Amino acid sequence: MNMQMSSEAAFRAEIAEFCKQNLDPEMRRLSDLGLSVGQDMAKDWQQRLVARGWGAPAWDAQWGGAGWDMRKLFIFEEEMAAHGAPQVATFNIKMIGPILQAHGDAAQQAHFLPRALRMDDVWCQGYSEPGAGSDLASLQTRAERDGDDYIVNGTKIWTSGGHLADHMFCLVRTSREGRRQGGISFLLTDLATPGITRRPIRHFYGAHVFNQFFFDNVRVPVANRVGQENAGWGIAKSLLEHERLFSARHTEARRKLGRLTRLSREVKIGNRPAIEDAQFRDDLAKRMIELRALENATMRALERLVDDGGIGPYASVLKLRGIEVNQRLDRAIVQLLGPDALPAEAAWEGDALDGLIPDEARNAAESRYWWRGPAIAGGSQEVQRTIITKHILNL
Amino acid sequence: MRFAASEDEVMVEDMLDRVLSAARDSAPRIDGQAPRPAPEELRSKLGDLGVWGAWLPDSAGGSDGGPRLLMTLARGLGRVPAHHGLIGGCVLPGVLLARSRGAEAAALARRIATGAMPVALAAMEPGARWDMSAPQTRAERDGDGYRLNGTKIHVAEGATAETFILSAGEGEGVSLFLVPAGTPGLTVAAYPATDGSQWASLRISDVTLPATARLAGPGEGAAWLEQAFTLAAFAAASEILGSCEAALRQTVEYLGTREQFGKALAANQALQFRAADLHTDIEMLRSQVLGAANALSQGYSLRARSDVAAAMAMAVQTGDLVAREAIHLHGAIGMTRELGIGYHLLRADVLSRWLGSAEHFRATFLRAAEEEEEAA
Repeated sequence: MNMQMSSEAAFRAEIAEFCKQNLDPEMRRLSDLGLSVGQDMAKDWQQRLVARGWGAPAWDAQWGGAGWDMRKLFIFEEEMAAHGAPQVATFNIKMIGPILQAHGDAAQQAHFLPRALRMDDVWCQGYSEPGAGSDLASLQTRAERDGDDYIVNGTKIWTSGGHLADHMFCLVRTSREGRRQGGISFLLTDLATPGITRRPIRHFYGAHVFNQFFFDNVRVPVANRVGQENAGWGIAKSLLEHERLFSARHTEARRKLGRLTRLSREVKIGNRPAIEDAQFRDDLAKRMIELRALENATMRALERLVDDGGIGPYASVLKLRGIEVNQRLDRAIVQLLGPDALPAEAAWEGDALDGLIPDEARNAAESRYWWRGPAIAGGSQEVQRTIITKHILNL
Repeated sequence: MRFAASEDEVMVEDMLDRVLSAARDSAPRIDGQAPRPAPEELRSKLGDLGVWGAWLPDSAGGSDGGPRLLMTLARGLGRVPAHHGLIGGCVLPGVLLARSRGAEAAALARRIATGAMPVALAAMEPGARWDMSAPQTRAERDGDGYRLNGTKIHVAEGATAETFILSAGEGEGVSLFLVPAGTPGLTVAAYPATDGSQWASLRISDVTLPATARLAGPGEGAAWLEQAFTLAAFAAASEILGSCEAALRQTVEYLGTREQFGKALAANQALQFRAADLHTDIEMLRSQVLGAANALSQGYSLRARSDVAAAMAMAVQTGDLVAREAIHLHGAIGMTRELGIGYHLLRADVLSRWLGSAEHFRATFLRAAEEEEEAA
């Protein structure tokens, strides 16, 4: 056990050293504030990770994976977040990469995996449709065979980062027979293909976060179908089990808590630092305690994953609570800032606020607005409650 | 440290389940209550099986089971309503007696491990809430011994104790004394708490004690008390966890069987979601109680103290919520003493009134977490 602990400490130290050597302070600052680091910085960071052999640690070794066990993968993610490393190319590394390794054919793997690893291609996910949100299986975008191509017609919506991507993996309907889930296929699409148009969707706080894509007689080669025809549903659901540990998004919550505690020494309530105010201290303790419990819950999930190979519906418990914890931390930051949470993120582009309010006020309100989304996406909180009801409580 | 139960813990859990359900099934319905195990029999049975004091060190009659076994025991007891007396009669005096090096203390600890309750701790005072660091009860030197004057209140298991551990200010510090219940000048008055358990107040008027009665001197007493109440809070959080688990299980069963408007209550999404939220709260409490058990197992550190305070802050809130929801989701039958689901609320309340509110434990948590950060 001691040996295990000391090798774990050595691994954590190795990651800390890598971040010290490679993480640009500006990049760290932006990602600590919950801001995107931009495509250039993201690509630069990914190159550094790839050079170290850490570009996609969970992948198979032949495609650049690190060959770590689940515990080590978990520590890597946690430690990277703790040092302020940005999450880049998540759709490349965490979604399409593992899916192609599990379900893609040799040609797809050889072409797409190295490009995804290096971010030569940037992927986005085309699952949701205007009529298919939480009820994803009701999706209608159809792909009809025409020789060696599919002709795709329909629309995909809520595509996060679609404006930064050049490729989309999407779910399309290839059959209307039998179960709705049984008529869905998984297609890889080059967004430069004629017939694809994109409409930006502004978030309610103003940022360009989402997109809608329209497919008008778009030709996609049959060679770009992953797996068998009508087998797409199972492929889309086969997210790597260790990623489900991060359903709680506890690493993001830990960063927010860091921001809250730093601000509590800087922001004053009644001429004293907030950290000396009784009401604030009680609120801070609430946030700290629920995050500590969430981290313990995540460690329990990791233990179960290592023991049993999966965590089952427990992931729904983690997601349900983890998003609430994140949302409440965002709210606490905004409340602590008070009037200083008023300026929009764009206010930092000029010098109007220089030296007048804490730099960590930047993007505080926007983060709160952005975090309304995860409670709706990826299976809404109500979908998670239904899973808990049906599969844990057996009601 | 692992979170999953060890083989020993699984064995103790099974044993507890058997003993508790047997005790409950054979218990009479007294005064319209849901059947409840008789406390003395329950304790002596668990003492005979070596479970009651297993968490105590070997030298104090236990088997070095530590916090994990204490958690297992308290959690199991929480699942079945009973005035078991674990915290007041075993944990609080047990921690203090185990820290002492005296022969009398060791003998008392060994009796406690058998399931007897010879000792109660009298540390709380009127109007002082949960602050036990500056007692008004004073100990003055008197010849070779001590003379004590003051008042104590909310003494758990005090109505039946043979001996009290009394805290008293001595000089600038807090000392602890062993005082037999029949000592002249000591008046014990029993009263019931809202959950039906028996408590006592103590009036201490010129009680004289030999020098050997002092269990801990003024340089030690406050720290000993803090450790004893930390372990008590840990046991209480574990008990509330067990109580929540039992209350939700019983409620979910009821939702599945009770029909209204031509369908099971469980068919209503509003009720399903309430149950799902309770389950999520309990999962978080379980995770934190386990985290606290593991931290305590590695020693009585600042981290262990903050983890216990976090666990109890959550337990107070979750215990209250789950108990209220369990009553409500049962409908009118939930209001009755006969069904007894309301006992979970009575018990969670008493534990919180006694050991500290959620706010109290959050403040304790934050101070320990800050000290820990400064030390790092």
